[in-house]
Amino acid sequence: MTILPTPPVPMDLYGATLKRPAWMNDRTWYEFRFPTGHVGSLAVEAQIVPPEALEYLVTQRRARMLGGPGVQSPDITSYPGPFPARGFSLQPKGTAETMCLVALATPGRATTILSTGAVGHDQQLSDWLARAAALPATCVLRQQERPFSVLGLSLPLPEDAIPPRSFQLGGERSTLVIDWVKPTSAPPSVDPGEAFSLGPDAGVEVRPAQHWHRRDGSVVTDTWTVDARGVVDGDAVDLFVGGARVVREGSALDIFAKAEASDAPRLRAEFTAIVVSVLMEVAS
Amino acid sequence: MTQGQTHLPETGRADTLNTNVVPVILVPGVMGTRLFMRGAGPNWDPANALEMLKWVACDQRRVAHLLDAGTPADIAIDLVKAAQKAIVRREALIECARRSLPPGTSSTVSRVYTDRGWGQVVWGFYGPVLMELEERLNMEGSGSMLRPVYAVGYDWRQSNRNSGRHLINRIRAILARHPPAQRAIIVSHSMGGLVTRSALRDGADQLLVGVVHTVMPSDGATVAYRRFQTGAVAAFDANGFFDIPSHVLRGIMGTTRLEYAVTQARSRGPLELLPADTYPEPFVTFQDGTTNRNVTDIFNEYLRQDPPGIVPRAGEHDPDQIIPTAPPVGMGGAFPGMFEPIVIPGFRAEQADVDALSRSLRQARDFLRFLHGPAPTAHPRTIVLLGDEHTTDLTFNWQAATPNVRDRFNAKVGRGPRGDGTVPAASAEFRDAAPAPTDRGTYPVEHAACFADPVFRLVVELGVRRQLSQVGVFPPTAPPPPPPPTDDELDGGVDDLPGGVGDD
Repeated sequence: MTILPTPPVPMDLYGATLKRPAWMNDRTWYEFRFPTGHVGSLAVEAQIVPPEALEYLVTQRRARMLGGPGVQSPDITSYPGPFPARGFSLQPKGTAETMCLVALATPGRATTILSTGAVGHDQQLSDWLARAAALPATCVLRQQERPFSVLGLSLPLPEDAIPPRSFQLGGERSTLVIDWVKPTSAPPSVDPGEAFSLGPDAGVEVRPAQHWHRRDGSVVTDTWTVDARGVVDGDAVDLFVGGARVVREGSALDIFAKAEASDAPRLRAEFTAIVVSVLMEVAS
Repeated sequence: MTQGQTHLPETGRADTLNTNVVPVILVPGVMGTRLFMRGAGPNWDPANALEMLKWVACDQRRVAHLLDAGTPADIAIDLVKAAQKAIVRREALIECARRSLPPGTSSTVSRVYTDRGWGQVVWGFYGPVLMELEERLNMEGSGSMLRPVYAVGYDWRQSNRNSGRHLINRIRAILARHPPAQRAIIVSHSMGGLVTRSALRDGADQLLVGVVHTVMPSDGATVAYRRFQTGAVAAFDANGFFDIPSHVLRGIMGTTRLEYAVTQARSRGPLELLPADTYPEPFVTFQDGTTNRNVTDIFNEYLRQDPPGIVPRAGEHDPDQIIPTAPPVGMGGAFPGMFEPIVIPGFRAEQADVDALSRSLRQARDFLRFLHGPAPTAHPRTIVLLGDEHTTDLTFNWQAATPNVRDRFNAKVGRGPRGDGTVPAASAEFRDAAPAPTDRGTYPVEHAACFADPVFRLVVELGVRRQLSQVGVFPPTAPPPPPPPTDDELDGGVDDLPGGVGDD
């Protein structure tokens, strides 16, 4: 069996064939703070890893972190939880903190978690991982809800954990910053009725637009999303419709995309993120 | 109130009308500035062991992204705790901070030195020289603040041309803070010398009294070429850098040729440390016996994908890792083909990496031609201080062992005690300086530890004093006598600085 990185190919995305967003192959870096003040980092690495290879990957990483022979090597241990998880903790000289590195074989990829904190912090990490749960692969941060999910891994952070204020999606050619604190009221630039052939029972509700912007400021983009009830292949489904107006060098470009959605508000939010990410990817 | 927030009372003692005010500006070397990566990954903060370990925990793809000059980063500003503690323990620094305040203002010691940029640079390495220069250049005589010591960090991933322009802006801003100061003195370390020289070529000469270059890779360093062939490996790269342990540094840069090439491919400043066309001695011997001295464009050689080039081929990869899988007990042979070994592909260079490295190399060539262009290539008052007697990568011989094959590097890499462990003395001498340096001194210091040597710090101070005395803005006060040197410390010590303070 040969393990290859996820190829950047078009994919069938929730009923709509769309270009696969580059960020789905990306490794987003998160930092968050535990209520106890511990700072955690989480790196998502787009490598498909079966459970059998997890130990090898962690061993390899440990060797790189510890240097040459003669250095006392911490044991690699298993962490409880729904995913195969292997990791180790170490305490660098001159510090009063430990670092835990855990690799999880989450659906479709390996997720590496680095967590730093006081000595004994790995127990907290272990408890935390034990409550991790799988969600559909997506990328979303919700200010109002816990937990937040990261590419299929739901992390049950404490209620008073502090998520990053801005959520970043790194692509091969662009980096997006989603600032959930600054909603805008940018109007839809495309009539959703023109985007889809909705059935006679379709109901359309225009949601407040989320504001997205590129971090380098070179492109100004307003996006909007629409809740819709439509018919696809004879079946009534919920749809998410998204549009974007990209202004570049004085000219505007309107883009839109669609995705099927579930009734569950949680999944709706995730699909929204996918749709808008696709839009931004296309716009780039 | 923390120690670093020691409050300074209002004072009217600042001598803002003194025409003798000459700021002294330290320009650090590569990796010497702390960078905040804006959430793209761990920050570059060598004083923070945990943060640096995060770099090693990342894979080389993320490191490459973080070292990409296009990945946004901010220069850190705040003093690290160690700096705050060190500063408030020294009465002279508190007094200097008090003197530096404009009349009718108040501040804290921490704020004064934060504003001086001391938090921007790696404190563990640059802190001692910053503190000593500040104390020893300002605690004599009138009680005026005559030579405020600054540090100017820069994003060392960028081209040194960009960093030079940043330096010019910072010099102007610093001079504006000390009216009517007209000119400053720069003390550069390592790649900071190239930044300074780039700034000079872009017009900074009118802003400077003089320059003191320390351990500058004037024409590049063989180690920069060698790592593109070997990766950063324990056999050659056994020394740490700043506060970074050697294994951490190797893990960040990449331990194979391909990892190293990819992590460096989009980083501009470090690539400008490759040996230039002006490298004064043969550092690479090609298969036919000719050397870099026989070619007019060494970067043409670097751009090759076969030896002696450094650009990998798209798809080239490190050896795959084979992980055997065993069937459960009792099931062996029951399911042929089910328990095949798992193959994890080795690190692979992509076409984008090849393109990026090629592009970066061409840009590095352009910069080095700009840097080494027509005279003047140096400030009229330039002092060059270099390290020697440490085992240093000097040559790379493609005729050795299996000719033109990337193997048996122990035979191909020539090392010897003619440099500071990183930069060969031949390069650090700045032989093609025009006009020639006013002073040049050689000391037995190691590249990334030179400021840990009290004698070398004293020599740097003497260099600054000499620059000041040459233009008549420094009181002819003799510095305090140096501590008694040991043979080990002072082989080629202060007396080797031609025309030193004692001559004035």
